[in-house]
Amino acid sequence: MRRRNAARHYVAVVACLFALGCGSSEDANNNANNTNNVNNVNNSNNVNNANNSNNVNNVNNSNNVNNVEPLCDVAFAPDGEPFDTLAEYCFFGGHMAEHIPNAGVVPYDVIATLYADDSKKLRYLVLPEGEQIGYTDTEKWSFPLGTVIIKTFYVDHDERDPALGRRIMETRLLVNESDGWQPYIYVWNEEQTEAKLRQIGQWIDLEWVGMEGQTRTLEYRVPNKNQCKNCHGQDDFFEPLGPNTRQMNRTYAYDGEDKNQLEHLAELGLFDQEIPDTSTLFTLSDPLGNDDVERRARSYLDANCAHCHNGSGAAGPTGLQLSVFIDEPREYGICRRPVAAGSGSGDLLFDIKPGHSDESIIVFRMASTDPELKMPELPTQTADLFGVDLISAWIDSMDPSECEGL
Amino acid sequence: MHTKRLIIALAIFAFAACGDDDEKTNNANNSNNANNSNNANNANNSNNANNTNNVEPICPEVTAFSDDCAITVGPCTTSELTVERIQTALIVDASDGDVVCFTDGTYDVREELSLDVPNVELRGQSRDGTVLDFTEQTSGANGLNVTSDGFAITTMTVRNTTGDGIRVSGANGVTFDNVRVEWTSEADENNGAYGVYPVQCMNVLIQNSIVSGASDAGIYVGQSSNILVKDNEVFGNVAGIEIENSTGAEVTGNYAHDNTGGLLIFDLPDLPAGSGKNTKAHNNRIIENNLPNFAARGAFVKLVPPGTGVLILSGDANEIHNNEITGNISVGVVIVSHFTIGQEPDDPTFDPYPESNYVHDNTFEGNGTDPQAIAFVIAGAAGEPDILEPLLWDGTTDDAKDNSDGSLTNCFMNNVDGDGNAVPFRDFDYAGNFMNVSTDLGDNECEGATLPGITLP
Repeated sequence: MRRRNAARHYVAVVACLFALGCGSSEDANNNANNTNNVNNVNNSNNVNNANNSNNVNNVNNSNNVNNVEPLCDVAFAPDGEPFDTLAEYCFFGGHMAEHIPNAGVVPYDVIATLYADDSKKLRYLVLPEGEQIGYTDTEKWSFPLGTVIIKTFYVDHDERDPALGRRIMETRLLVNESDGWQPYIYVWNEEQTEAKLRQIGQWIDLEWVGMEGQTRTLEYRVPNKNQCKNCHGQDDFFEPLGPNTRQMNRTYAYDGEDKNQLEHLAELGLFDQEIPDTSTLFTLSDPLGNDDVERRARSYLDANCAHCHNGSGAAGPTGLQLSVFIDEPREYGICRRPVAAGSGSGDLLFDIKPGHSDESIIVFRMASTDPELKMPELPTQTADLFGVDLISAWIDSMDPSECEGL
Repeated sequence: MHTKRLIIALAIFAFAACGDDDEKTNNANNSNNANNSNNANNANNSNNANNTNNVEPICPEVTAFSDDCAITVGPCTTSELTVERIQTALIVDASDGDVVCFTDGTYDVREELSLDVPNVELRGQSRDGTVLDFTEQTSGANGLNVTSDGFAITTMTVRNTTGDGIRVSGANGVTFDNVRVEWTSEADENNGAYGVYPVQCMNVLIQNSIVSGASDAGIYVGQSSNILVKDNEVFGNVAGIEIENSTGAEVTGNYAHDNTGGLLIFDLPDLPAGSGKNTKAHNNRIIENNLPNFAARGAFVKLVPPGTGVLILSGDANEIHNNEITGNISVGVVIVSHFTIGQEPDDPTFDPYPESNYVHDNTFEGNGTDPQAIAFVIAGAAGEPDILEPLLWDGTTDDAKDNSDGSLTNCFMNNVDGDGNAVPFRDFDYAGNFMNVSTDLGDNECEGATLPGITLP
């Protein structure tokens, strides 16, 4: 049973900063409509006609755009019927690739990010009008039906100067529908004018310039819909991972003004209750920051591993639990022997052997790119060398005598 | 439903645009009308036009080989298209209850395939002719990764996956029937760990299948319940069949040969499912499992000595009966506690003692003739390293438990050689450092509890 339909829109007037770009998102809408027409057509002749009229429409539209400031309302797709293109949601004003959020689309960042082959991410939260998040300090937030969480993955053309532009690979939506969160993945074209729904995954050849001016290449993996479950699946449910108190309690530059994200969301009326003084809340440590190595390492593992390595996650069967809330050292790997790792043990005896990062399975697997061995078990292509160094430093700082006799 | 079938069949027309969703939509529309040859001809024309440069990858048209194929796929001329075709079928097109048919041919698959739609059967045209070949796999920890209930895979081969072969997790209702999972590189540590791999599942049927070359266990059932493993052949694996932390399994009619160990029943600590029990293994042939152990160090099965027929590690209330156990050079049937692997279990809920197991009416021939690894050590402790009794128990009992009614005793009855003579037994007294070795069954000659067979819903 469908409880909602496409009619629920934000009524938000959006300043269109980039006239040309607005034209392109209009095009996408028209294309979608044309596709619908094509569906009603019964012979190939008509299909050709449809294509012709399509072209005509495009010309007309781009003319119109120059004269008229368009309305752009955030649109919600009916449950189970995602739009064919990202443009149809109208999350972003201006040129869609610029990602200028429309009214009701709230940007945010997390403290500890999940490594994704050095790609960068843009994150947004969209709640249906008038709805609120059920806030808790340490548990999972509860989101109203219709909530959309948006994550866009990109690389800068030149890491030394982000102003030179970027290549967006994909925008993932996690939509809270009546039968649970659903993932929808939109893959961007090379021209960066359009992103189309593609649930079966894709490989994209990337080339960009790294921090030292070197050429970097990557066969970037857009996951398929089922692979989303690898991280977001908890028991039989999908769940958002980033938007929670411990990840969100940080500042974000809203229109150039630094503000605490939780306080910002509270001011927008998006929480169902008053939130505590944010300085008192349990918060992850930025792995790239200056906190002590254990805090940073545990935060890193929480962000990069605990979505699987918890009792309900895909790595639940291993028993290794890497959430920052686990207090028992054996459970998070200290002197813990692998149970079902097979060759994933790398001839090593302990998940974490204190004082010996080079004899710890966790480091061995984080550093591996062999699909059978690598951790996380995601279709990423490269190891997170920063993460390897951080976890190694943590392990090497431990008392080497801890596992003696085990 | 009809549309679906034809989308796949018509992927041939998509060519380079196979990845283009609009093209697919159009093809689908065409196919709705495609009951006349006119449309087909038009399509073929465009086909020819594209063929002028002669290198366009294609997905040849396929036809269903069975009336209940909701979707039919075949191999394409490139791996990329092949994967796209299969994943489109499994992710976009398949719906609850569908049979997805794979026509004969070799499918060059280089990434993990996944399925998350309930009650879907993946059916090949013939077991040896329909081959999902993962030899060039570069992405994903499994060949096929299934997370949906009511899954079945039948009549096909899965070959040379980088990691595990077919993993099914958290599913209620799993069927493997007439499937071959193999690694063609013999006894290679780099082979994947598990071949047939249901974990945390219930109502599992694995039958008429062949698994070879796994660097851990060919057929591995972990943390599951209500399991029937029937009439399979497993060889060339480290462990032929392994039932781990599972409850209620029947293992029958299988032929386990030329593995390092034929049948392993393990109970391990630190697993979410906790302890398992009640595996009934009967009427299996456990023959010459003497393969050198090629598992990676650190894997539990690395501890299994070559030449092991049946090994129960810490498990309770299992019944091993009417099996033919022949030519396993280390030992025929061995029951050991978790202590023997030299680790102190740290899980307070874990019971390391194997109890209430019942081994009876098995036929033994030529086992323990050349004990290997730890079996060699056990044999040597009694001064005869060259031969070991075919029935072994480590003699470890938990003094904290009350066994006055004998219900915790591991029982051995009517285990005979080919001539009907009782076969030798040894309690090798692991806890006592091999000091009180006994070859007398004593209290262990008893009638234990029998188990019912497994029925699946």
